[in-house]
Amino acid sequence: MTEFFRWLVFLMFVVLAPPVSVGIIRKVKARLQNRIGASIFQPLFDLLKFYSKGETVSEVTSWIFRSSAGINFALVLIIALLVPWVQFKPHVASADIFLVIYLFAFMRMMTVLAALDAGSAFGGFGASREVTLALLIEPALVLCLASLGVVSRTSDLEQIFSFANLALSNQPGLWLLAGSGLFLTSLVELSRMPVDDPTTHLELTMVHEAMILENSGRNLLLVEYTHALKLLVLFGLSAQCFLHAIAPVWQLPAVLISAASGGAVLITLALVGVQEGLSVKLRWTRLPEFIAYAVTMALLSVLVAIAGRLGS
Amino acid sequence: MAGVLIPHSVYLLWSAFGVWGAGAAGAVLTGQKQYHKLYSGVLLSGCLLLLGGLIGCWPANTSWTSDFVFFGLAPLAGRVDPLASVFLALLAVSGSAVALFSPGYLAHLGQRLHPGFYWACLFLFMLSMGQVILSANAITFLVFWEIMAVSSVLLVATDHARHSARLSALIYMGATRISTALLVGGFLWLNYLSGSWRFSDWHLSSAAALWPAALLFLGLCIKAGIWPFHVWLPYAHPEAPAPVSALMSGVMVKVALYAMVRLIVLGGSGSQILAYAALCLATVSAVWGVLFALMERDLKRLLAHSTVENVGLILMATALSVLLRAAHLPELAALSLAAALFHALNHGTFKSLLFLGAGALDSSTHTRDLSFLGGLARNMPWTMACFFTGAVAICALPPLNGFASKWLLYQTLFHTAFQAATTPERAIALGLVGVLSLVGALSLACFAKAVGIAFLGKPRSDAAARAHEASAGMIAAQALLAGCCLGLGLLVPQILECLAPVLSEAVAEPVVTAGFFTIPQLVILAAGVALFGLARSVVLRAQGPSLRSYVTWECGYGDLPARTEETGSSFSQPIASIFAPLLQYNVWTEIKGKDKRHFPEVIEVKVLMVPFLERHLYQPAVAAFEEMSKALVRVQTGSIHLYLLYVFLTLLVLVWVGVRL
Repeated sequence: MTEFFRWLVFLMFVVLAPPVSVGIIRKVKARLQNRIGASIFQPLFDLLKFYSKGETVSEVTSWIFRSSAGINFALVLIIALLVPWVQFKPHVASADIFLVIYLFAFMRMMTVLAALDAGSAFGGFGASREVTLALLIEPALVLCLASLGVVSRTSDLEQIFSFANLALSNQPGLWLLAGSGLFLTSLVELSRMPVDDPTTHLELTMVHEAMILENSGRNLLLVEYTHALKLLVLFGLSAQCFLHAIAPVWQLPAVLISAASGGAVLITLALVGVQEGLSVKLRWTRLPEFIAYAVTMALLSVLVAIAGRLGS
Repeated sequence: MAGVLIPHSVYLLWSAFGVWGAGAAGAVLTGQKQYHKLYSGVLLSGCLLLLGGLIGCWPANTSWTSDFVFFGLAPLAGRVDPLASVFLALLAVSGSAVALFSPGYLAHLGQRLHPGFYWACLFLFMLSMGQVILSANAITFLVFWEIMAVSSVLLVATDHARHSARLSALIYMGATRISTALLVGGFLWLNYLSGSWRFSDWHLSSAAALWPAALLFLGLCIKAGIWPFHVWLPYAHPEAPAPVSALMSGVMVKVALYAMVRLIVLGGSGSQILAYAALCLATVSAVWGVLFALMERDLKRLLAHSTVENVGLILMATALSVLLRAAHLPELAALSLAAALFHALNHGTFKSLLFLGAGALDSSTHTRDLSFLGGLARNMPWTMACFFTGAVAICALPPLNGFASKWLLYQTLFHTAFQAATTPERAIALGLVGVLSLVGALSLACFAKAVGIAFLGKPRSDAAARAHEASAGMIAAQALLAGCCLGLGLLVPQILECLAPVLSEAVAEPVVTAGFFTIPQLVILAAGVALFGLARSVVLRAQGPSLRSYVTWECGYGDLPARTEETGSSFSQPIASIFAPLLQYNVWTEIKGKDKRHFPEVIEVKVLMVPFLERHLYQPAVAAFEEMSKALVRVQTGSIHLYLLYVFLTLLVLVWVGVRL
């Protein structure tokens, strides 16, 4: 019965939380800029609006264009089920690191192909930039997770992120490094500031928005929802790392862990809002420098994971 | 036959080779006549006989020695066991696809093809690859290895009216010569050490066997296309007709890897130096291959470079298994070897599929240059669907087979990172996880480019706009291989169980493969399909008048021509600029006109890329060789008097040597 409620709560969370989390980031950013900003539910209303709107599809497109939205939607839901981005996620088997990484890669493949499908120069630019950024962050993303896995001797994400895992219970440094690495790579993967400006209307500067320029109506609904859930999952994952990092200092009772994990996600989202309010978009040519920080974090966590076991 | 008890299925196996041999003889006799369907039937029936024989033999370990065929030093000897069966099955499946594909494809070559020549060489090529896999002694191996090399060189030169085909055949022939020379050296040395030509008598575990093992390794590396010996690959594979490229890239390089596993890994080599050298070469191959694949604008050259990457991954897993076996981690060694063998099998299927797709595209549009393709998804939907499946498989995306083998490799490295004894070993393993993910991201970029630029968007030339779907046979061939990709992806535990005898032999203890692959690919596929169906029926369902078809957004300028689209070169430009020093990548731009700042009349952009290895390693080597030949010209003048003098002097020297010794 408790398992049933767990699924119910989780499913409701998966349906409603993604748009709201985008709303939270926007609200924090607006307050920092001395604006009142839209309600945090505005992205949800936007999705409802997209549902009732008509859809325009380019004559040039093939089956890839409309299917990619559906495929990505399916993939992101599978990922959300596998990745322990909140502690009250129901248990599923084989939440493997490398499986998750390659499911994300599948999403990227479909997004890039859909962007190329309409034959627009904007889509092409965005796609080309997306794969470039992806190859720079991919090693960092994998190494952050793998170094956590190496210390806990398993590649199962649920076991790695479980609070019952003793191998990682007293490793705040490693959690902090891996969490920062994940956070920085997530900024790139999700096309947030300072890598890409999700609010701009100048197509030439954009990555993600340029790729989805052709999408409209219900297709856009799926794309926006998918992106929001991906955002929640990735930022949620780094939030869990930060929570693990402070856990030894602030011994949590087991009942509060679920609530705390939700709170950590909220705080991380607010942090993204603050970060977006303060930073400016970097020039394209300077992005490798920014990504170098993420790679450094990943390499440091590898170092801790390997050297931390020198004695054993 | 000397074998005591030979199961009937082995005769089935032999009959496949008989059918192919008869096919070759028939093709020579019919010459110019276009009996494509007949020979494709012969090829297919041979493949089916082979497959039937393999299923019948499984998992027997049968060997035979012929009383009739004797190659001077040793008789024709063969052996069929699980390892050989796996690679023969790959040969049979790829061969069947090639048989289905050939008639439709050959039609577009028209007069440029000599049918008898093509089919005879193709039958010999198939026959020799099969026999190399079956061979049980060095002499049999070398005889068929040479037939394999010669027949494939001739097939590369099929379209020999073109200069590029002749050049490619020449480069490839040079590579095969060096490869065979090294192999002969290694075989002679091992024969000297063991006094036998039989592979089963050779043990490479002793220190004395290090050098012959190194010779064998280098010779096989050349044939497999490992960096820095891979340079022949991007020449030879694209120039051959598509079915031949599929066989060369899908099966022939695997035969070299098979020989590596058979002779060096199962031969018991435990040399750390050799294994670490192999690991280094493999890592460089993987990164180098995919990076150059990404830069290519010729679709088949792109695929050839990507073969270098995948062969690198297979060699990486093989080398790891030797290292782990030496480090007394048998379970990981078995996992690693399973990754190597399974990836060889998988790469064989999806690379054959992709080469056939490129061939279908070539036969329809008469170009392989990505800058002249585009928009083919509408005219060639089936080819596109199959090529897309192949791309998903080769990018290691779940739930297809590419993911399974790459996952096994990831798991090997990941487990080594905490089970290995020393810190440097653990660091290397975790570092390789990072390299592997970089290679994965690059290959995704590469195949997103291949699919996206060739099949999607607007057509970039009239030829692409007028393209038509390939013939039914060509589609069937691709669909067969695409089905294999899915099947292999869903049946991973079963396939691994088939590999178990080989793994047990390699690590010299029983191996249970049940726990190797823990990802429920079928469940993921089912969940994905169900969720996709949900999205499709609830959200994306057809909306009647509210679903409007219109031009692509062009900022209100009016319908833009295809020239404004992203090209293959511009797609990979950001990555090229990051790796510019390695790729020797330069973009040269010239703007002409009176007031060129505001009213340019001509804008010219050229991408300059110098192949690094060819410029800095092979060109100097070839130049030095030519200089040496020039020096020899002075000796060989064409004067008969001088030659008589040489004969006389040689005689004197020999007499002197004879007297003195």
